[in-house]
Amino acid sequence: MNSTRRTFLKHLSGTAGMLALGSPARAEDSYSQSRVNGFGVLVDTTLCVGCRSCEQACNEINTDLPRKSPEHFKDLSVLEQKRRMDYSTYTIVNRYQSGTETDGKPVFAKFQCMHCLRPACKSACIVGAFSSEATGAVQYDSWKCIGCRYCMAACPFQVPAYEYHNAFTPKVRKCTYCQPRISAGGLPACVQACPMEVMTFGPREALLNDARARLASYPERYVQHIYGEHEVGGTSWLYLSGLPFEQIGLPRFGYHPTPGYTEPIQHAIFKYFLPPIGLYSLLGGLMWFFNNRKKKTAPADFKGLHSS
Amino acid sequence: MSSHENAAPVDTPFFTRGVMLLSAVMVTGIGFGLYRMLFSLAAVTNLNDQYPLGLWIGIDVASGVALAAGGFTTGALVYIFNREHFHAIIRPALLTAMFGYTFVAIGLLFDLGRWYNVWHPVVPFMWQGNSVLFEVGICVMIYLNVLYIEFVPVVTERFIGRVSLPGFLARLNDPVDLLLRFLDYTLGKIMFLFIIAGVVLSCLHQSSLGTLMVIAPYKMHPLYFSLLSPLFFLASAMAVGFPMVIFESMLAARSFGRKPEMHILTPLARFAPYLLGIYIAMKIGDMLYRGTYVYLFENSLPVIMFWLEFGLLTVLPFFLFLSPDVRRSPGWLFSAALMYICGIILNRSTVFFIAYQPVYGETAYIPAIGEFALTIGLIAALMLVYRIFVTLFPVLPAKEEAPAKH
Amino acid sequence: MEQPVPAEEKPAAQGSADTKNADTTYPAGRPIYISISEVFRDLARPPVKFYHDRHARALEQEGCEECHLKDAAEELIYSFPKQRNDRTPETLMNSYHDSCIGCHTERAAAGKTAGAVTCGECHAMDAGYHSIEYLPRLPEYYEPLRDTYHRDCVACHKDPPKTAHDATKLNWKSFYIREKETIDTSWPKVVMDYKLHYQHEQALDKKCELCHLTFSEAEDKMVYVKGTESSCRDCHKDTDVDNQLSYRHLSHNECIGCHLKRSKEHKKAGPFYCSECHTGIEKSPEELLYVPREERNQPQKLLIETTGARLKGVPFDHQLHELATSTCQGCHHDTLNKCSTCHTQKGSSEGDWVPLAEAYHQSTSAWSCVGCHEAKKQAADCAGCHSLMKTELGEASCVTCHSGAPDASSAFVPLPENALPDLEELSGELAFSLSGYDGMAFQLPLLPVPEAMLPDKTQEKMKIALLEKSYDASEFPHLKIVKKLTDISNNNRLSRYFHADQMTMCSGCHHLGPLTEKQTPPPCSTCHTSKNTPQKNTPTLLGAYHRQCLGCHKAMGGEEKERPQSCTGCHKEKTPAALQTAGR
Repeated sequence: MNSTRRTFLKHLSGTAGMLALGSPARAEDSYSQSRVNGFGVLVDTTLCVGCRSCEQACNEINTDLPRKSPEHFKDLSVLEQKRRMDYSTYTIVNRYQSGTETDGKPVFAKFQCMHCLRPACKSACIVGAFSSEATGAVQYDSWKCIGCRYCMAACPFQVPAYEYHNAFTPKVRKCTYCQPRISAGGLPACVQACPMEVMTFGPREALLNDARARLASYPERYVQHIYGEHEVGGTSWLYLSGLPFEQIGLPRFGYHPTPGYTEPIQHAIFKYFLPPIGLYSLLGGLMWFFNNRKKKTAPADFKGLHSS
Repeated sequence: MSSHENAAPVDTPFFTRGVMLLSAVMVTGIGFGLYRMLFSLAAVTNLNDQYPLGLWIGIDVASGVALAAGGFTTGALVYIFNREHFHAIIRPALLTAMFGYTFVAIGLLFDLGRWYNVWHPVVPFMWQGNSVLFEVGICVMIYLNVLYIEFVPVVTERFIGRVSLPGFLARLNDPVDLLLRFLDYTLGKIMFLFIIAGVVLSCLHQSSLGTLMVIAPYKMHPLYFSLLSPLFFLASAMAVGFPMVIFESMLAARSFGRKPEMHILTPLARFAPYLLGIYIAMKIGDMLYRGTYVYLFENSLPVIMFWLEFGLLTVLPFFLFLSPDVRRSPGWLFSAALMYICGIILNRSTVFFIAYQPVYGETAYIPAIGEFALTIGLIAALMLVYRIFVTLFPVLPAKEEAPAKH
Repeated sequence: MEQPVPAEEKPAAQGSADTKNADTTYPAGRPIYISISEVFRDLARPPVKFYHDRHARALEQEGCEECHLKDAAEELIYSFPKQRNDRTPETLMNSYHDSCIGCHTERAAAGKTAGAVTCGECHAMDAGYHSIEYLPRLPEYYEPLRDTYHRDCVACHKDPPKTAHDATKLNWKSFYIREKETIDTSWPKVVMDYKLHYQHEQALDKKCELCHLTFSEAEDKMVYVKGTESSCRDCHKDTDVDNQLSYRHLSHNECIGCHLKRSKEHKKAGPFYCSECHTGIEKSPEELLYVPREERNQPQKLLIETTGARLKGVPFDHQLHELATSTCQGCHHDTLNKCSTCHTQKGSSEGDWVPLAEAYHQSTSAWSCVGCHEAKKQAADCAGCHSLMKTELGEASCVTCHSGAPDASSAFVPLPENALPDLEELSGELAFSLSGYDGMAFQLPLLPVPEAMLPDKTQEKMKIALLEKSYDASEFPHLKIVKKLTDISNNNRLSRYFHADQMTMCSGCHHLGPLTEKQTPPPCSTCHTSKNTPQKNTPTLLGAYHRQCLGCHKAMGGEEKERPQSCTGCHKEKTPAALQTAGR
């Protein structure tokens, strides 16, 4: 019995060791320098006029999205409702009213995946279908996806959309940051298409400096805060606004990244596999102790739950 | 004192009216499931981009895992703490747990968008160790196999010396018999390893189910967001183990025309208040420490659910289990167990899609008919399969000489 | 002045107080929110909305003494309640309850219209008070919003809590009640603008000594010293200090007291109901253009210069600037002294440590020269160019003001006719004519329209490379735009002064680089290229055109035809045939 127990334990710890080494994403759970030095987009919502050219450009570039005609994007009456991204679009523009007067000037804001520096979707995904690229893009690989939709629950910005109507090959849909274009030195389609150049694309650090310069130069135009600089650990898409950010649909978040709540728990439980092994040993010890107490009667028969 | 009873397959007729009803319900549920497979989630469910996790995750997966906790709690009780008195309920509890987890996996297949990729988490190159769901998946997968291994002795007991394969396979009777004897011998020696592993694995994945929604602090109602969520899930699952055993044991007894085994269930129920008490104390302590008790009188659905699942269906059973009269009375014991089981189901459902309040939520999520149908159908299927197995295998104790009173 | 509405006593229905009657009998006016949060801290119930005007009208016969005490000199003291016991919050609450509910109960018993007697009727839940959020006490290490709150909140709430226990001391609950308050409980200020002051002058026969008293230390009483007439606010601040009343209490005592007295003497008197003074209507300088300003021997044309300054002095037309404000405090925000009295060169405590230079040049303050001019630039007519410009003074603009002593031969330049508002009738007496105004210190130039210089039309062609929407070339009416902007500028004194140099107007759009009259300004595409990687602060040509044109149209507003904001308003879409030939 002793030898088999020993060998079994050896095998168990061997498997455990393999598990510990096998997961590739384990090593990168702190801020990766490549991502902090990745690209960002600075969105100046005071400039946006709500023309939906960005939506149209995104639809043209991403051929896997359902085709929509240019007339579809000229229809500005959709701005009367607040929309969110869905399976057919990676980005939308919403209209907000400034002030409480009915004739207050409208303010527009564009929403898309924020390409967080510490993405919740990437941490949540059971098969690692999300990856952070050096450009800062958070990429989704539908080949790996099992369709559990935990990423959708995890994202604080409620970005990923799902093809619920697709029976056989449903995908999670979210902005791709035009990764092929930006890797080749180009611009994301929406950034390039915007007539007002609401968005500025560039290294994230440089954009932060630019944003701070704008805040200093036009103090009465902006709320003195760069949204996305630190929110939920920092995002690649940074926003400037003339209205408080909650009023333009950007929720108020803390600075701690949301995976920072679950990952410490997970890592603590599996720290070198000590807690499970410790528990195993403790239970083994208890089992030995309670069985020895009853040495008066025959020792407990473990023959596979026999009833005699 | 008769804690050692022989187990034997049940010999009541299989095709009763109840079985017919369960079959009908099962077929309806599976029908909706197949419809989902052919015509997509949108055709059957009310899931949307704001509410990605719905009834199937809340009940089939999360509640299913919690309610199958009877397996490891009774295993710990009998084999680790060596309480031989409860030996007779080990096998039924194991069967419930085994099929509980099997149907969790089956239910999950219907919910996954790409169910054919469900094997992906097994492949090392797709492991994502930071993910809570990864840990849940791996642990459940391993534990399911542990449960199957724990059930093998029941199979060997049934078939050793009685192997008779049909037709031309008959020549394999002896090799199969030899194999079964080998397994019986080996497993008899090392079963304790699997039992302890089962407890450890259960603790891991029960708690990780609680960690799942910790990744969305801005979407959870304050009453339901806590860093101690894994502890709550673990404690509540451990507390529901024995009530679940009581529930299914009494149901089975009723169904097969036997008296409920009060001589086992009553002492078993004595543990319930301790386990429930720990859970309740932790939850209330956390509420006081974090100051979320201020939300207790807010007029919103999560708070109403909290009063229902915690106040009515957890605290009240706690008090019921405390009373020796309740523990001795079959009717009251059954009711108390059923109440807490419902409390668990409501708790898990609330965490996953009621207290989950999306940032840009527009319409509330109300599960569709198809979702309810599949869930209930899978439960019916579980009960049917359970009945098949207790008819085929020596799980329940052998019936006594005198016929039981109904 | 209008006479108060006579009170009508309605018999109560069924002999008991029908509180619903009181709601409609008298107009309510603006409510005073009684919360006294400095005493009551956390409110157990919503604050009481107290309608003073309704009570004043209902108790007209009984008079103010019904609720307010009189002092030894038979002057009303406008504090409440009569027996106000503010030793503890409980006693203060009881004082209010005894007075209010006591009175209501008495009146109801006597069959008169009476107010509420139950808790919830006075402490009514307004929409803004429904959802008061409490921050649960989350321990430091896992509070999701800790960092945000600490950044915003701890700025005022010092000493952040180290433990959850400490958090109670910060009284987070009441902090969040205030955060969630969406009701504006403030009252509009009563502004003694030039018109109101002039009415008082007329009514009191220019007897300044009736109101403008200062405290004399020597004689230990209030005396009138001619030439030092100023606002009561100079001494009376926001709170009662010893014998000195707060401005609020003082103004109610003096103003309403005087009005009541004169009203009893059947002389022309001001109002004494809350909403008749606190109208919330502030007159703009344009409406007060014809009201005579106060005569206090103020210097009218002066040269503001400091010794040892590197720039020349600024010739300042004080009389002209009096026309640009509604009240002296538009510029003289604390006292009527000149700016350098409190704002010394290095800064002093009287001037809140704002040095003199900053006092004149601070672009965000409405009291400074530059700040007021900046505010004027935000008007729709000016915003087209000025909203796009940075709020910082360019070096070239210094000499526009710092021009030294004005020319001796100053010519009077009248305003164009259509810039003047209608004359207001004020008791039939007023006649202020422009002839009384002895003219401005310097000449305001008129911008000519340099038609000869400009091409008739400039065609700018632009291709948008990415989108399927392809547009024809846009026809850009350059001359028309320059003419319109010149007209707007010529119609306003401020813009005429600052746009003296014709090139200043051009630089509204042609914004970088020196502009001379001889040369055509460089086209936009010189700096704003069409390359695909825009630099940080220089948009590409696409962005430059749209930000300039659309930005200006958005800021100035107006009709779509005149200032188009839609895509096709500026450039027509290509016809399908043209799209085909273009290969799209």
